[in-house]
Amino acid sequence: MAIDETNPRLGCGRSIDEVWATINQPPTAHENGCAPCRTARGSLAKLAEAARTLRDNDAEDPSLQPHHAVKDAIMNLARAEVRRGNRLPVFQSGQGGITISEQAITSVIWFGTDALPGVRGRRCRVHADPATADALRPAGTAGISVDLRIAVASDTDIPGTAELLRQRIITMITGHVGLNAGTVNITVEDFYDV
Amino acid sequence: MSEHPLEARLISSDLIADLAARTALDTPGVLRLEPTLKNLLIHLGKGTLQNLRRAETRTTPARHDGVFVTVHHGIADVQLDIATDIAFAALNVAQAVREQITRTVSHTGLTPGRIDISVLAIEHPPTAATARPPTPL
Amino acid sequence: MDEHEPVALTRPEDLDEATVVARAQDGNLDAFEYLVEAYQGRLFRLAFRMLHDRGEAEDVVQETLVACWRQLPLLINVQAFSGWLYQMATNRCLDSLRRRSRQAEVVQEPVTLQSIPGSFTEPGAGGDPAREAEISCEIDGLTTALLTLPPGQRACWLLREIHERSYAEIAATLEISEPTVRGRLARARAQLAERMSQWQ
Repeated sequence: MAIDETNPRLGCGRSIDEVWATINQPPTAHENGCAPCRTARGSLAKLAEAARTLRDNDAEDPSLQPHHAVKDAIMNLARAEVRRGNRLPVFQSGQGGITISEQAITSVIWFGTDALPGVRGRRCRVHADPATADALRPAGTAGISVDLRIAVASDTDIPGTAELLRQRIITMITGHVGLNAGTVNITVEDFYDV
Repeated sequence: MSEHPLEARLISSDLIADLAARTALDTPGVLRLEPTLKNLLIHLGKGTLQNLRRAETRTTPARHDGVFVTVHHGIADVQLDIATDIAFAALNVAQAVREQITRTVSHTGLTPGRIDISVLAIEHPPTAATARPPTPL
Repeated sequence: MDEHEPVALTRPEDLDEATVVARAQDGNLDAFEYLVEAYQGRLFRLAFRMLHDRGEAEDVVQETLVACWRQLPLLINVQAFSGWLYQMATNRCLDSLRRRSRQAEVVQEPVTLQSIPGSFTEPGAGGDPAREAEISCEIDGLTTALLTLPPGQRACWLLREIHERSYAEIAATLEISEPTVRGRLARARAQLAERMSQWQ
């Protein structure tokens, strides 16, 4: 077996893995009587202790953090390349028009999900209604459709909550965006608490 | 009257951009102008990641970030990217901004052309409790 | 406006990680910033213990998290987020070491390895100088021994013992089989244990 070729063995034929597996238990009769096993146990125990010390020390050591300029550079780049999704045309006229980004609408939808207990709004896609997409639109008549994925608490009444959420999203999009959400598809993809 | 062509030459697109920005910011429900990727890259320069990291990164964006103006033959086209306050309906805010900018541009003697407004973000205005140090945006 | 509206989105620290990842995928910068804060220290510690060079370790963190931002929308399973990050960081460390080995090999003396700026303010030592010295010695011995391991073994050992990743995750990260992970770990442990006993 490949494992035998790669796993170092002691003089008594046992592998380091086997000794390691029971390092936190009292030595077996064999281990008590076997010199290579005793030595291996001793040095592996020391290693385990040192590994614990290193793990605890490093996690707490303030010098083992990247310089704050690293995060600044990452966030500056993310801001420069920020993803707003599509710009949905919601008003068009011969003298220009209005678009609203998918992300702006998504954030309104997340405000709606966050206000409902037991619901977590996740990925969201927003489309302009195909029926009116190419027409010249006066203000206030544009429709959109929403595909939202959510996670819920495991004790959630899913059909009831989904319906409540749908109504809430429709209301919020009317009030805070000024559009009409004709279709709101909600997909429950996960329980967030299990 | 040769007044209009003269004015067109006197009024720069920068001036119109400045007016459009002020007009937008004075419209209730507008939180800020929203700079775009293109502006930000120009603003940050073409540095490498390392240069970005080592350079001073907390500078302020150019004055007209989020506004693009072209003036041709006495006609001004304006494109404006904004963030709106969630307490308002974004579409109504954008509509009001369009109307106000059309009016402001007319007052300069230029003819308003295409006035395009993009709402890129809808947010709560920053409050004292959630205020954070100003970001480059 | 509705009185019951929240004045802000739920803060990322009050959400489950999968939801934060999903929001970062859809371009939410607060969610992404939270993930950067949550992972930058862990990734730095992995890279620093792999490379023993602050500057290179910071480069690994920065490149990993920039790649994370750019490729996030492509991540299908949000539950796989941390494994995905560890994989990107580990690969960058291994690349860095390969580049280094192509250049002239510099044999590092243990004494230079100990000069980590500002390190060794061990918590839990309770201001006991003897215990602090002991901890410091323990860490020096282990980190010095670590640097003598082949990079693949070092990565396995750090991911398992310091970052507590599962065998399956490590196998996926390094694109090797689980038995290979076990083999590498066994050899790493044997070698580390031996080196450390030599030091004492």
